[in-house]
Amino acid sequence: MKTRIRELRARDGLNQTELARLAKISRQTVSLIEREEYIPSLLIAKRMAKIFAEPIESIFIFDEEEI
Amino acid sequence: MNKNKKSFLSFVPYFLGGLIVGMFILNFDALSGVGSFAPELSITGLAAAAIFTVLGISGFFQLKSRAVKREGDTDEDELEKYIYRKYADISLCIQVGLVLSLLVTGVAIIQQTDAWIFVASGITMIAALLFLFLLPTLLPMMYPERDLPSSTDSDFADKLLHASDEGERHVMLEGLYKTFNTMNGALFLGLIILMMYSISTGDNQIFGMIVIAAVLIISSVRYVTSIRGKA
Repeated sequence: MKTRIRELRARDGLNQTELARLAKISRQTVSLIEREEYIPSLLIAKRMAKIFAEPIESIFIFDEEEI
Repeated sequence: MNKNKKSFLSFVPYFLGGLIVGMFILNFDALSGVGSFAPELSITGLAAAAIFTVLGISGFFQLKSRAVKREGDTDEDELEKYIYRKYADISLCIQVGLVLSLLVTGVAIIQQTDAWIFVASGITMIAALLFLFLLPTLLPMMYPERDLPSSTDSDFADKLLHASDEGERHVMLEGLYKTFNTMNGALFLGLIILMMYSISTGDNQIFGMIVIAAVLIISSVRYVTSIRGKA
């Protein structure tokens, strides 16, 4: 899974700690997702989508073989 | 390769390691009287325990002051990373200090070495133990916005686990799983070393071997019983 979180954070001028606060998760979790070491739950994905005003599938991008 | 085969193969390096160390012991007569090195080992162990404990305690106060004065920090993410890593380092230092001081205290009692070694290791052990209990009191200062349990809560560890989010639990799970495998392998290696040591020196370590075997069995039973009910 690829993620655009780093790019979207930069676009909106948010650091990891601020994004974590908005998404009600820890900075460590934001960092893990950003490094593509952890696939978040649907709830966190939905919150990210709301924060960045983007659809989930444009933030978290899966390869065809993964789905 | 299936999981069982992988798990079995992960023991091979420990088994071979145990055999190599064991063969070394069998051919190294000086180890037959390891007790005669007790004063030197105690002093070295005590020095190491004191260094680790002091590092842990000084780190505790550094982290406390850094966590309290966090307003006005320009790079919030770097501060969060620093706090997280510092807490892990302090925890490791204090735990190593505690184990070493306990070992030295035990050796001092058994070998009846100089009284000052016993007193110094006892003080180091108490200091390490005290700061091990004080360490979780830093958590609310480190993460003031989070609803974390108090360190005085009876089931603090369980409540802390529940207060963690999914990413933190993922990190803990990976760490604990690696620890579980390493611990099992290391105990297995320890069992072989003790067996070789007993054969080589005639100084039988059967009681130690029974204790290690019991710990190995208990940890495996605990793990399997906790996962098999989740079918």
